[in-house]
Amino acid sequence: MKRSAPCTDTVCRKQGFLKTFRKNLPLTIMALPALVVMFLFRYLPMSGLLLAFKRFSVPKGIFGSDWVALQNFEFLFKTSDAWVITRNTILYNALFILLDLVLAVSMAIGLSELLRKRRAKVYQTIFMAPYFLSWVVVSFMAFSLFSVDDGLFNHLLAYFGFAGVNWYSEPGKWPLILTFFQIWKTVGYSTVMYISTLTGISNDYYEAAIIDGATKWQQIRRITLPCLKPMMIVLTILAIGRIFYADFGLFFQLPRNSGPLYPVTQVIDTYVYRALKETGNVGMAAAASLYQSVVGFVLVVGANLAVRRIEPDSALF
Amino acid sequence: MLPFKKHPRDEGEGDLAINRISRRADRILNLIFLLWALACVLPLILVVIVSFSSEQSIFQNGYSFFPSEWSLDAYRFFFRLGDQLVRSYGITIFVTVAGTLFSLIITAMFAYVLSRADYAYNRLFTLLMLFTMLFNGGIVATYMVNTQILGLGNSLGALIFPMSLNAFYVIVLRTFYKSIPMEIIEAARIDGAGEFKTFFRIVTPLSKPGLATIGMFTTIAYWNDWFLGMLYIIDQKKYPVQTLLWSMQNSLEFMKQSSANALEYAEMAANAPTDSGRMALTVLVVLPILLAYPFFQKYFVKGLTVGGVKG
Amino acid sequence: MKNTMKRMAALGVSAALAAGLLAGCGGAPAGGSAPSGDGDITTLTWYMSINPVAADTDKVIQALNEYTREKIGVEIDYKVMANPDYKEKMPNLINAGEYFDICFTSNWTTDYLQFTGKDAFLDITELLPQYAKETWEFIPEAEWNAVRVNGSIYGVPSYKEMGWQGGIVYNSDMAEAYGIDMSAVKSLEDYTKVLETVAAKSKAEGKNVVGVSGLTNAWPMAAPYESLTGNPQLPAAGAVPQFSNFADMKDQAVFNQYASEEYMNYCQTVRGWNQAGYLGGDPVNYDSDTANRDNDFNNGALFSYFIQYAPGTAESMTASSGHGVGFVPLMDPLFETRSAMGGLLAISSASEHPEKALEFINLLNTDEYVGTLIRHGIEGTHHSAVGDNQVDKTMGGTLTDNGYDYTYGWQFGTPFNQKWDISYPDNIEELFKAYNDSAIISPNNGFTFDAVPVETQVAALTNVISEYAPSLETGSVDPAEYIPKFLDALNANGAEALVAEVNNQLTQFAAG
Repeated sequence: MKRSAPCTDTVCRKQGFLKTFRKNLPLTIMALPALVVMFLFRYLPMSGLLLAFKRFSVPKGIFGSDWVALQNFEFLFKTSDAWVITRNTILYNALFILLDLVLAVSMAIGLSELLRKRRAKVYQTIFMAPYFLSWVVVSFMAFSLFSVDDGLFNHLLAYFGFAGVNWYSEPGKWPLILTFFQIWKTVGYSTVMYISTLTGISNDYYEAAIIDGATKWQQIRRITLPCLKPMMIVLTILAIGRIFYADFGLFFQLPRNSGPLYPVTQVIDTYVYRALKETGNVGMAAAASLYQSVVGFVLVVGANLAVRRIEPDSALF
Repeated sequence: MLPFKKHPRDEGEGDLAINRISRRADRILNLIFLLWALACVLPLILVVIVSFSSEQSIFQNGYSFFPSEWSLDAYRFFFRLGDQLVRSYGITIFVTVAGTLFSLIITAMFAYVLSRADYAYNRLFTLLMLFTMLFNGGIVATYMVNTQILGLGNSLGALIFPMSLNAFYVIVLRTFYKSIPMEIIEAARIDGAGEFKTFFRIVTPLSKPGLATIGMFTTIAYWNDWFLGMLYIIDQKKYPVQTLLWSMQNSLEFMKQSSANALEYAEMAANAPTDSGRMALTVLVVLPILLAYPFFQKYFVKGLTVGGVKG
Repeated sequence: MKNTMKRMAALGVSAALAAGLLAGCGGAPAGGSAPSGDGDITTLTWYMSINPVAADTDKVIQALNEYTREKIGVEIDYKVMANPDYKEKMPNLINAGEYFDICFTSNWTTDYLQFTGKDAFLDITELLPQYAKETWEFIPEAEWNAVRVNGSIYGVPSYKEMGWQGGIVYNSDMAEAYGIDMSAVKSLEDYTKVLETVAAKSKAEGKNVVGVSGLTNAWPMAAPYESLTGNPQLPAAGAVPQFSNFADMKDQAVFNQYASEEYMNYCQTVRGWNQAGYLGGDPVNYDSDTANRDNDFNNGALFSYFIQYAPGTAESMTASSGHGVGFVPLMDPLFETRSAMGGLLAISSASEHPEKALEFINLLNTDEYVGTLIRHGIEGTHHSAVGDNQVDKTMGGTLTDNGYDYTYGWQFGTPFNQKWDISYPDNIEELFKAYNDSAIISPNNGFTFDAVPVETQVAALTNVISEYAPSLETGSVDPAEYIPKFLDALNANGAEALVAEVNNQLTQFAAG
């Protein structure tokens, strides 16, 4: 925090605080509505984190329920699949973050370079379309492609004289399928984010570059990408914070909860869902969520530290 | 949708026209985008077609672009709701508009404050907010706070406030604000403008692309939400449209799965449009907001030019 | 940095203050008798799950209140939700400590055992004989025992058919056309021949008829056992002597059913069916799409499927499918602890009027006017009486236009004090009686497993089972290879600990 003058005694410190406070008051007031909302709707419910260490009883409430130490966390680690679950969650998310970054930035730049602006707008709108479809609907669509008896793919295979594939029981094909659908559904969304950043870049830079005789590639490398960098960094750090959360719909609905596919579709969220369907233990649910949060927190702090070393201005905090 | 940056060539300055990409590059890009656009739009078209197909033709041919028989059954099923459907659309529209306005204002002000390097508490508040993105108290505690302390049970407030501050959007917007040169803000201050005036008169017009993006995402989020309604609204008359349709569809599937034990329902269940219903539901939810897109686009483009952002 | 700390501290204090409020909202423990006064009207809050919510609900509740006000001095504040909505909302409402007197609970929505475990429901063992005497006597003792948790009763079960009966419903027109004698089918192995005939004859006609579906439910029907955990999938089964199966597990009171010879036999049988093509290309997904299945069944593209049978089902299906439907039972009805949990009405542990609530539940179960009113609506408006015991709900229009028309009367209590819709056979009550009389009461009826000591194992096992069981039980994979894998995974995730714990609790149950 900035301080106007070094103080040692309490009075002076207090004055320093008051002075800073008064000086920053208008901006604090501006932040106040958001702070109130944040406090009421985010921080008040944080008491629920305690449930991770408790056995919940309705009459006793959150604070009165009995402590059970770390018992609620055991189910996350005592399964023989703990390694597979963790590996799948992290690898898929890492892949998604990387692909989404590369593809969304490329698409944003590509769209902005098209000669006909109208077309670019139409494309961009269409690319957002999959984002509106729920995973349940997508899973039915996918089923009409992959169904063993009636699926389009098996019909095509049969047409060309190949044997049909039992898509829902062959794990080898699913990393690709899952990745495709994830990107298909979300890349339009990220693209919009980068396009709006592109729009904000002043033309002066490009004009100057053209006068210097820069080629298109040089312009992209020297002007566009550096201008997009802060957004790329921010979105990536935020995505890293959620690396331990998997999209339930993608991994549960799309493969239709098919058992033989678990080795490649079992992720932390699907595991927790199946595990707690039976017992409905809110303590265990809280434990799982706390575990995901802590990992995310550590990774975000780490990623932010790294960014601060290299590029202090782009760091989140 | 968002406006694209105008190229220098658009301004008709001859010497800048050379900055276009070549026709060949343009053609290749168009081809790639066209293929991707097909992959994105065909499923949506299929959803619409299936929603107008008869259940029988779906059973016979699966999902098809060319159903053997068309039918309005799925829509009839939902339109049976009559007044309720209209009322629910009304609630959704109200929640979306009020929610987006409220959310956008508090998000933008907060993001701006956090973007100011000279603000004493910006690091503290950023951390506090980031914390809420990573940690959450879980549904039990959240539900208790919202219903027992804040008294939002069964009220529209429960649909608006809980999702009004999204840390992700704050951070994205903050990134936009950070790209505004500090000199502009300093200049305003020297001219005697207070913080609020600076923000609304100077900074906001400059950050319209960012605001438009976040505003659009917020609108979509409010529009698509069915879960808050499902959790907090007890009285079906107050359901937003997504919750209503979700509930209808699930009741239908529930009925179908257990119809064997209820004689008088057997026939009704047998004719119920589950497959096409699912798609009709999607159409009823997605179509209005997709149709609203061009208007968004127009409005935001206009806002931008009025704001005087240099293209 | 100091500033930061102070702000943090300030926020922390106010958070703690507000949080203090949270702790209080669980509500005071009840059990005491809040005054309902003489002549005063007590208002009871009743959360109900029923599908779909009828348009004229308010009118019917008004009529109900007029009656109950007179009779027991009670008015109902009725909060009704459709089943899918209730499933999302009610658990949260209870967890958050929202006030209610009566709520619907079961093992498929707002789980009875889960919420009993969270002390959400009131122990009504003592109150029942006093405040709901007729109901207490009307519902058989086996039902009451089945809903006991550690000896106490926390809800009034819906009394309908007792237990469950597995079997196969089939297209009887097709069976006749192909000359199949279904009465000869007594077991799963017998059915192989039937499937063979269906496949051969239908192919000869140029049709491709799927022989049988619903295999994901079929295993417990092929070799019925008592589900000691309340969940038939968890590996903790008890043998039922009447079925004389599980010979290889004879010396164990509790065993892992997946390790039994019966499981291997079952899986091999269906593996044979699968490879012979009797099940369609993808039986797992075929099973999950019930709409498509029903359609195939109605159109003669599917010959039969496994179901849990209730009296009247075959008649109902004959009406809806457009062809004859028969039923072959694979077992006598089995009544076990979980069977009574299809629906219950429970009283909140925070209720201020538990006695009045019980009196009201008593009316729901025994008063014919109340039963018929809540199920079929107001006479003259929503139904017209046919004879003494039946109603006609068409009211000169279609059922769709009826403002008060419910699928499942039993969710309100029991069908036996509600008049029957004319679409049911006249002798429906006798059918129910015959069914219930033939039900085998499981050896450990009334034993309720407390999963708390092994929750970790249950969580992991649930995942293992959903990974392996569907493909094994539909014959999609080779049992010789996959059953050993399945068993290894079960053991690696605590199947033995679960069996041991069930055994332990069972011994205590038997002793106490």
